[in-house]
Amino acid sequence: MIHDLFIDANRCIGCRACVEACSECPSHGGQSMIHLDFLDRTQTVQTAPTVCMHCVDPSCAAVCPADAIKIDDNGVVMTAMPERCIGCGNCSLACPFGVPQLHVEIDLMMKCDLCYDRTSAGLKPMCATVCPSGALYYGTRDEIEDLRRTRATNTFAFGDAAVSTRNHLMAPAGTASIHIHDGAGHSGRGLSRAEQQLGEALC
Amino acid sequence: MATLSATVDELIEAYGPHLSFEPPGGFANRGAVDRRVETHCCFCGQQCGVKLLVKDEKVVGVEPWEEFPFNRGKLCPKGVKRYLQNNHRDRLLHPLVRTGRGFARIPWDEALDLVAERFERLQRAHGRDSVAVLSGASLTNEKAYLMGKFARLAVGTRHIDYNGRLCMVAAGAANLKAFGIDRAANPWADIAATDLILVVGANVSECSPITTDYIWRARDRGARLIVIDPRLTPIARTSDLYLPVRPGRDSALMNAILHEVVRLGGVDHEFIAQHTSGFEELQRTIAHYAPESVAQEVGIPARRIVEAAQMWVQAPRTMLLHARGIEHHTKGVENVLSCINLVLATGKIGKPGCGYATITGQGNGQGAREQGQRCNQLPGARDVENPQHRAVVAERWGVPESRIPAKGASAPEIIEMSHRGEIRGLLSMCFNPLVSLPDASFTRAALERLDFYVAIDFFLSETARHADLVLPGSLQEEDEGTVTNVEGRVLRLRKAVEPPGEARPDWQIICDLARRFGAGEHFAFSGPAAVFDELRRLSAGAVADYSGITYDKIDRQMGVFWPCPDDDHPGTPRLFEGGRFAHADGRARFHAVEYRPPAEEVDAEYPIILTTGRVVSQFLSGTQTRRIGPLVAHQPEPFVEMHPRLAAKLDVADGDRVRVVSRRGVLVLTAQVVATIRPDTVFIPYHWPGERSANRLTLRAYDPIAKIPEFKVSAVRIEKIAAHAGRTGALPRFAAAEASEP
Amino acid sequence: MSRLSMDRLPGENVATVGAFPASLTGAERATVAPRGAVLNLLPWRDATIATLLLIAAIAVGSGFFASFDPALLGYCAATLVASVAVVWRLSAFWRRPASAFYARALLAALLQPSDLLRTLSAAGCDLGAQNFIRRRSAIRWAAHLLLSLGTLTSFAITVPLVFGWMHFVADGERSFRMIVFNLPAVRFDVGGAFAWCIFHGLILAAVAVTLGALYFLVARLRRRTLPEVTASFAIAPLLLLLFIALSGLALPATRGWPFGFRVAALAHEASVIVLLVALPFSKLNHLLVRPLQLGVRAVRRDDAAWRACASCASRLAPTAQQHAVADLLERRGLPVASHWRLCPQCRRKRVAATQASLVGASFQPRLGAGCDREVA
Repeated sequence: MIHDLFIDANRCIGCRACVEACSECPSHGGQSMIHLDFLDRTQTVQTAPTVCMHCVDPSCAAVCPADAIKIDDNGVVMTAMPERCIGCGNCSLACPFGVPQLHVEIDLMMKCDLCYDRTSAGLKPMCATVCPSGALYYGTRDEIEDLRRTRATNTFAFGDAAVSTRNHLMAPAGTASIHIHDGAGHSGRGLSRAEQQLGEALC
Repeated sequence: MATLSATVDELIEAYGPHLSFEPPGGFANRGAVDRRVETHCCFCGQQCGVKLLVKDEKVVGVEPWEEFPFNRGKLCPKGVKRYLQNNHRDRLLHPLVRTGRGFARIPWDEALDLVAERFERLQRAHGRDSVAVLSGASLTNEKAYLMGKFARLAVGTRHIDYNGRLCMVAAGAANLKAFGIDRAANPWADIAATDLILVVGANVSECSPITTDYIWRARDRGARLIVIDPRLTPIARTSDLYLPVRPGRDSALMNAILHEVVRLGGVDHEFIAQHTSGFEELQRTIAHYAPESVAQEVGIPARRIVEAAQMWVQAPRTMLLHARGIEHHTKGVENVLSCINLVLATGKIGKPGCGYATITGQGNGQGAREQGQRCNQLPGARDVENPQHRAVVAERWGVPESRIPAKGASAPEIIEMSHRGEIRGLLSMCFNPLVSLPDASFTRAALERLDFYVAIDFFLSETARHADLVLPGSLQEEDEGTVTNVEGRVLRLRKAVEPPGEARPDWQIICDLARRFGAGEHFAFSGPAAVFDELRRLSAGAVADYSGITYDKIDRQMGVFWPCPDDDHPGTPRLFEGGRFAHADGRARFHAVEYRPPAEEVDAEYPIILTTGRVVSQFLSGTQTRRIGPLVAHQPEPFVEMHPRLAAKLDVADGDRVRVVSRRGVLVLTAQVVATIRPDTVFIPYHWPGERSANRLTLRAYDPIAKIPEFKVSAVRIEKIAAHAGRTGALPRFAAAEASEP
Repeated sequence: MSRLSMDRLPGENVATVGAFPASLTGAERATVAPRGAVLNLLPWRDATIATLLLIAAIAVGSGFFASFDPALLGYCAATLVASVAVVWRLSAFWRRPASAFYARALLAALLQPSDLLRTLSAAGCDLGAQNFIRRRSAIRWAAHLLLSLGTLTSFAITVPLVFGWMHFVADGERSFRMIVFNLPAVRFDVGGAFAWCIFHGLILAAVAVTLGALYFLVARLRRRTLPEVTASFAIAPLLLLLFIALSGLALPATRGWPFGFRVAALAHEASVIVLLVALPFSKLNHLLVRPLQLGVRAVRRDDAAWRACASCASRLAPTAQQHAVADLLERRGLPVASHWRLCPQCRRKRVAATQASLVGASFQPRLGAGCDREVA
């Protein structure tokens, strides 16, 4: 039984344990498939881990000219088959979550495959096993909702288009769908409480 | 004598640091492994459980150990990539003796003879105390015990100290004063069960990442979080209240919070009356620390201080955690005492989900300070100046009490004495003072004045480059032993592989050396288990009582909390239950602390406060982590972090090269302009040597009691030198990890 | 970090899709075979035309079957079946909207004289030298070259023989003449190097295939760390190629032993027929996909018009590709308008910032609030 990943970037401490652990997954050959981004290091220490959301109808596979991105019976969207992938980057342009990573030097896209070697054998993915902040959690929806005050959401609105995914983002109770805003750049995110309090420092 | 015998470039070429990115044979050929060894990470004091993957007698990877209760499989990036230190091309494989041009191989017997001969010659000419031993807090309890016994009985010097002097001593001294015992008062499980967590000067998310898990588990239940730190660290970002204290003002701030707690009526008079002494004097002291009167000095608006006090009073259960942020000060002990005062005055200790802890930094930061390798301590955390303690140890060692030397010099003092020529011979193990001590240029000069310096290590650290003789010891995974983690939980390290080449387990090197010093009968150990048996017998009846702990019991219980006074005792996860403290009268002590300014205040010439610290991908002086490619890739270089307001004043943009100047030295670094630090403060991580060493800027000012250096406050000025020259590029495999240094 | 020399590439041992195309999954149905693909007549037309042309070429090339070797009839029939299957598959695949964009780019590049040289050089690098595999891993590249060149060489020798396009006649005491398309071609000395190569070409090719296939088989078996679903998708073609190579090698080895030779010949013929027929439906069908890489080269040229990320201004993609992807998404009703101008990192940041601000709002101070649940 393959479970789901639950992501709460708000808890992330940017330690990169997930990045390093991902490269240790037996099928990843030393390559990390996870992204860890500073949202805007000048303004905040907020970081965010991004793993593949494993869409129910994945854009990456839909636009692949080589038919290199497969979905298994559990709904896990695989990384590109190396013998097929022609390194065009269509998937990377299509994915609304910014997941597929095109490695131009080797004409190959690589992305999170939910540690298929591990999860198909009943183990947890490396990233969620090591994550010390719980920003990444692997298990069932009941388990995490029992542990957290937030609730798991796996439907998103990108403009008018709805996307359902296998993996979840954590959101306040009552969030039916997470609306990702239109337009460029990250949403005009305000300062956190602590950031405001730093602004009050007497120098 | 010990200036470098080859250029730094030549030494780097031969001994590194080089970067290791892959397991032996590459990731492709790792395949199925032969065994998974349940042991612990070699780095910080959290001592997370990990399984090391072993194939063909080589460590080839890591697997999370989810059954281990402390970290439940969770790891930081250092823990994930720690295995890359094994099979490293820089690994020391043979004893090396200094020649006119670098180092040359020498047989073990000759090397060991040389140590005894040179030390004894120095001691005959200049007295027994002309040689010193510097040890490390990454060593197992067994090795720490051996080092203390070796220095005192074999070498016969009183100068034995360790690098925990740069880490836990301020907290340790304050804990002894206040509680009569030096250990985290609560197991970490109590953090997850509390209602309010107050983090004071601890960059939890980078320096003890696994503690983040406990904090979030508490917050998931609704607990609140207050963080006091001049930098807005990742754990501070989501806090309920963040107090950006001006570096060096912690005791004033804590006094003010307590002042406000008293005003709010949050004091537990019954607890104070029954379980403590000294509150009256404390009350008189804190009376003049009203939030409004200290706000300007501590750099925080009074209303926020009041808010912190309100939150503290309202929370039924609290956990106060602190770390180096308040301890690396000339008043480190006083800062810690001011925190303990708050905990004691409100009676919030010794209960489930309610208590206090210092977050120990080094791998065996807790255990290594109890086994008698500190200048002022004997095994069992006994006092070297206490006649009864000396008598017990002498009797159990089977030596006359007079054979145990008096209290010796602390680690920084040993370097100062070397500089003055009073100490002429030095033996060090797992200590890299050239990177870790303040005022690195001074430390270098001190090393250069030694007549004979022998270093036992697994890599040639920057300090060991100055050695006359280098003995290849063992990495953590190459030997058995126990360590005591941040909670006081004694854990078992299991050997995964044998030391490579001619390298030997550290305990064996020490015992072999002891025989050369004519003390063989006291060092007839068959292995770490035999050392542990003696260690626990020695500790019986002492404060740090390990006598009921056995390797078996550790395996069965996944760790045993000391004190554990007998075979049937399960250990003591939580101290001070029912308000019973470790002083003879069972009472805790308040210590009134008056705020004092730091040793070096900013002025017109050096107007900016420098505070130093760590990054998550590096550990301490970097001897190990600067050799692990993926960790270096995260943070290839130190940087100077400054607020945009300060940067604008200096006309500095993000990525510009700047010169940071203190009274001790100059450093050229890349500016990282971020709004997550106080505008009057800059931050530099300290893990690098030479021209990248933050400790070229810091000053040799120490806490009068603990002798811990003031790493967290010095005065600097910053000059812009060039516009942004682009970020550091990709790292080639096994590239030299550092540019040359003078 | 540009450190991508791993020998093992992600996902390559995850044969979860099973024996393609027997267990077509949802995405397979959606992407490979759009509604009614089998009923689409265009690929059938292409396959018919191609196969008829091939039959004509066989007839003409063999002098209307004068030089046709009846012993190779089985091979010939299988090749014709394979021709239908391969061309149908190729045509159907290249006509998929996502693939057609690059197929058109490739055709345009081939038809444009100024681009021809560049495209041919790309073909040499990508299809001939397979440099992209070398950059993935040198040893895999060497093994793959052995495997692929061995296979292609043996086809290059056997196909003309099977179709009667090429045969040899004695020409003098110690020399042969090669007849190609019924026209006398090169005459060569029986003891010369050329003759040795001609007569040993198949053996050399079989040895190369054996070495390559063995490397991949061993590598695959050595890397089995955790229970995998099934490796048949990857292993079956390797075993088949190995079997063909070994049975081929057995032919000259059993010359003096008629029974053995008959068995070897039968085994070889049977396995080659399986290979030919299965070609477009096994892992080997990546041969049909790979030429599209030349289309990618044509589209992603440095001198093409490229678009930058609308948020951070980093280089994003060629304008033509960006529009093509947007068009594909729109046709499928997948989200596009909200993000197509952003680079992947800016997309990630936007999602994370949205989520974090939603959750961050729930961390407001709750003065006096007790904890509502105990930890275990």
